[in-house]
Amino acid sequence: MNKRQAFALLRCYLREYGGNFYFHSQFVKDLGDILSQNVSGHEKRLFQLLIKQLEYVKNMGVRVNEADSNEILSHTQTGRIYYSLHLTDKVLNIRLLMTFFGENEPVFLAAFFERAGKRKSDYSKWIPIMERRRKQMEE
Amino acid sequence: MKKEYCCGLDDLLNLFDETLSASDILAAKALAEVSGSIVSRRMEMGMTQKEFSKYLGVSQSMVSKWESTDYNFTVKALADIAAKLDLDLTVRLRKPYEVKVSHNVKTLWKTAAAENTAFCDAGYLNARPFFKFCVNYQDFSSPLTATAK
Repeated sequence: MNKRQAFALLRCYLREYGGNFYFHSQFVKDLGDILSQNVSGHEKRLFQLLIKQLEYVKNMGVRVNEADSNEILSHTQTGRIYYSLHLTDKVLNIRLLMTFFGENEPVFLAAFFERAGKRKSDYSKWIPIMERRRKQMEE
Repeated sequence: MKKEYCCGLDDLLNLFDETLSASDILAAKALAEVSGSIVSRRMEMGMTQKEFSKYLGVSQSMVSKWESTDYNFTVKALADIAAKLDLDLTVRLRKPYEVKVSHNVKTLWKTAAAENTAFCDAGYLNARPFFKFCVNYQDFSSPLTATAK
């Protein structure tokens, strides 16, 4: 089996629940930047953690905050619920910021590398970014 | 959804195209599936990791490793976990099924129905729920047309 076929199987598997994952183009860029700047040599592990989170999203939907140390971010001004999914191990400490359109359309908006191990992440900078990107996708 | 800003799963997976092997991809899929099943079962039982580890007679750090895909399971270990959680375990090595694309998409779906299988975008599949979803919604369209061979 070649890589293309393995990726195709993975895509089929992740789509089994009948929905689609959507990613803002800047989210893909954010993650690409993290891959090239922060996690060189740990791509495989990052991939495992990423696929695990997609699996959680697929299985748990809007309850994905109950898995791992994932969080709901309360953004009081709009009432929109945003989630922070944690890709964490000894070396990696990455946050994926996402929301749902409706009940079952996961939309990934931003990703960043959180350097401070145990300190609670500060999302204040990211909430306006998520808002803007969400609106761009919704318009 | 505005297409200008919207990327799909392919765009995300492409980021890893150069660094992963086919076996890395299959391993990530299998580990995510196992980890997802364990977490789902634990949540279904309404237990914290601590309670769950006590119930299973293992350490909490072990449960944490299982759930974080940071554990290289043996088949025996999986069987032990499955038995304790009243879950079935299926480990299979099989060829991905391929359905030849006919000129008529509807015919293809009928073929897939007969086979109880479905065609996925690169011609390989294991997507019964996906197929069921498409049939339920009479959606004979999207994933087929783009990659018809």
